[in-house]
Amino acid sequence: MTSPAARDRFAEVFGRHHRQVYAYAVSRAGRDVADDIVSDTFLVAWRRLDAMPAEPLPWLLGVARNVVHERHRDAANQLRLLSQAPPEAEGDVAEAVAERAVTLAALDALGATDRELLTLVGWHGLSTSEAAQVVGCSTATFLVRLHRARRRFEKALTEQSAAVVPSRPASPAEEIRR
Amino acid sequence: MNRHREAMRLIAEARPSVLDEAPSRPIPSFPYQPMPMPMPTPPARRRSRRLLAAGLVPTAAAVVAVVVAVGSASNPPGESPPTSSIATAAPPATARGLLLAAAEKTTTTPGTGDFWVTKVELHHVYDVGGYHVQGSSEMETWHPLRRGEDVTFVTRWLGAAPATDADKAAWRAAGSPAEWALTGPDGKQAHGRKLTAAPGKRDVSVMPGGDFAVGGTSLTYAQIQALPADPDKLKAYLIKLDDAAGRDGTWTPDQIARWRVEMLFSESWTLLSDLPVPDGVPAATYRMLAGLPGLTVDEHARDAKGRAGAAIGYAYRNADGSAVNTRLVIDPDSGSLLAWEQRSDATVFLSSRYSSTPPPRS
Repeated sequence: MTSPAARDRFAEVFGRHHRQVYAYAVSRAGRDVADDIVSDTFLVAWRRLDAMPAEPLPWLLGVARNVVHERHRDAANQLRLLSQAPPEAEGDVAEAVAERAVTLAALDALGATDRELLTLVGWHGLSTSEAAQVVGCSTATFLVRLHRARRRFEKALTEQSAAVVPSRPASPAEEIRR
Repeated sequence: MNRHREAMRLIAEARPSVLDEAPSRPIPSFPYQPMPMPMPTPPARRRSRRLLAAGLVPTAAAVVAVVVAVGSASNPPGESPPTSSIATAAPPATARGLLLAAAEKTTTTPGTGDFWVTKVELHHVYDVGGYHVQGSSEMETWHPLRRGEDVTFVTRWLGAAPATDADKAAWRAAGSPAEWALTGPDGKQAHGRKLTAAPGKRDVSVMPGGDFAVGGTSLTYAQIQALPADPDKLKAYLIKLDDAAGRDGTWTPDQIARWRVEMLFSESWTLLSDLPVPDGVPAATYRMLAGLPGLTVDEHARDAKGRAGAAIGYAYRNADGSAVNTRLVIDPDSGSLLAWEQRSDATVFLSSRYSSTPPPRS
């Protein structure tokens, strides 16, 4: 595949999706290795242009996921989203900042698997069927796993609200809801 | 269920902005493949240079091996003539004659503007398990002539259908599906994505890096305006660009010669379709091609849109001795470019023009 056709297609896919692959890489393994993951992912994409579908984002994230699994497992396991997200610029209401911190802390308290399922849908704009493709299961299975992940997230949210914002009322989930 | 929606809302709102801080980066430039054969010692400098930039050094050798293996899958080794005859044989008179005739007729795109706009159709044959479907998409590239501005791609999926009559029969037997699952990079259907028979929506994407890609490097609009209109000088210039991309001392003269023919054949498409070249360069490109060894010709070819022309072929050689046949389809009567075809891919050239109005934003 040295043809201009291949290069055109690769260029188009890269231009359209490299930022999304980067976002996924940060959310899975952190900023330090995100560039490496993006590079490795598009190297595979170049090698496997034949296999790339017309709508390549879930496929690319599936490749990125394999790259994380094979080469950056430690970074993924040790990742703390809270540390990746410094307080947002001023102008943010303190309460919103606290709310985000609690949410990130709750995600951090989850296992990497739960965190991945929740952020695939919540942060990377994938439908549940696309997210299912990324993690390699059926949509039905994905929904079941997402449901369980959400329940664990809600539990962690309650715990983290108490831990991160001790001044908050005892029922933070109620309080957080605007 | 409300509570669950609330959880997802909280997660969505906590999305860290660092996720969107992807650095702007040029399209990674991976090595041309297949590599010329035989390859006793990897051309380390060339590969390491390009892969270093992408942080990919450890996997370079594996990549080349995989690509070569993939590239050779559909072409039995017996199809290509032996290296020695390719290096020395003159091109068949008809290929040379057709190219020289095209050189007499070809013209450049007139006009000026702020953008160079090219339009192609990309055709690709997909393996959907048991049979093949051919899908196509349209791509318009808006290339700024000023440095430092973004390139805009306007693409649209045009749909897919069984590739051949045999595929059509297999498709019917499979219940005439309107979409297909594709296999993922690990070869499993579980990672498969959907391919639809129906056309898709228009998609606009923007990419930084406004220079024009030529021969493993990139040139500004001003540099393109200075391209030589003499075939020998053009060839020498392209070889100089390619050599500057790096090659270590382990290549034999035969390997270098073969590499250069593949490079020049590939770059001819770039010169004829992608670049806003000045007068004389398309003719020089055809004349340069006419002087290359090992070309074949099919005078009665049709491109993927059914347009009649002549196909000028060249067999790219894999490291295992097998070949990938590549064709440049031209209309020798008008000197216009029709298509580039290789294995399961075809790029059909539709048009090029200058524009003073900016590209669409959505």
